[in-house]
Amino acid sequence: MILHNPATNRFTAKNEWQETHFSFSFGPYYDEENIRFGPLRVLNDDIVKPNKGFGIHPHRDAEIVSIVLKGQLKHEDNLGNVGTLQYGNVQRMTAGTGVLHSEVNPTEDEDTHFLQLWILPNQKQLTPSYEDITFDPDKLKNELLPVVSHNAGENVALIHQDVTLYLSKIDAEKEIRFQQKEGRKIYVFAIEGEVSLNDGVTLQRRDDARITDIHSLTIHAKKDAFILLIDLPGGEG
Amino acid sequence: MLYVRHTVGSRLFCETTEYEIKPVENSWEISFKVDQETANTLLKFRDELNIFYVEENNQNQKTWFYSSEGDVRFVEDEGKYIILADRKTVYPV
Repeated sequence: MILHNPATNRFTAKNEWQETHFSFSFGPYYDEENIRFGPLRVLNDDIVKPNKGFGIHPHRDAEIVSIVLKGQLKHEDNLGNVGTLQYGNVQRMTAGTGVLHSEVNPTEDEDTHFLQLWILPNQKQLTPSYEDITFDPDKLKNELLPVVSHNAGENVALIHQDVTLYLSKIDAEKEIRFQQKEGRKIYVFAIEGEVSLNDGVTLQRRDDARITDIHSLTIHAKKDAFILLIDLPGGEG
Repeated sequence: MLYVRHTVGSRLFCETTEYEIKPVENSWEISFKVDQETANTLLKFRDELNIFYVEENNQNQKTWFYSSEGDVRFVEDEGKYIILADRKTVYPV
């Protein structure tokens, strides 16, 4: 089954320095029917104005992944990590027993666009940790490039859950295939462009698809497209 | 002021100036009065509660508590909600 969620269904929160579109319940948005998809608990699509951001705040018991699409995002935490991310970087933070961090747009004149995902960890009270990786944007071309996985490797950040996040840029009229193991789930988020899934559901920019009981997925780009695909364990939620 | 918020996105469940925080062995017992509806919500999210304490004369720091085991209870006849927090972090804001 493919459950299609159009971008227009997302809840939006906006203030003078930030605009966020929530794909799942978060902060001011709460919908009992839209809490999570497997261990995927949060996908926030954020825009932050120059010299603004989120001051020091705590997190716990979450695997937090940030993917910068445009601009820069500066991270600092109480573990001593400092990093400035831009397109081509992916950050993974294990909040575990507790971490304090800040995230700001350090630039003077450019908005920061980024996706932030929270994955429920496979174990509570992990030791907090941080990692950022760099991927080669050329390797996204018509391929699914893993950037975060429980099977970490070179340029693949380690996550404490049985999930793998892939990015791909698909040229118009090209297609890619993803073979899924039985009993698992697939989440697809169309970052840019337009794709069809198994010649059925069409995702426009920022739409998502929550896919269960489908083991062979063909993603056809109707226009040049940029997608996030997540391979998730099955089970409830 | 004491604030009780959800761990995901900081949704505010309640805030109060009437509370008590007392050390109990290696933990802190945090108690405050709430109505039944709020208590039901807090019990529902017992594993996902962050408690923040800000002193009136020191607004430049926050104290963050939580119970890693969701150790909470509601004493119905007193209308008192009690959280046994085993984690405490003080940080500047």
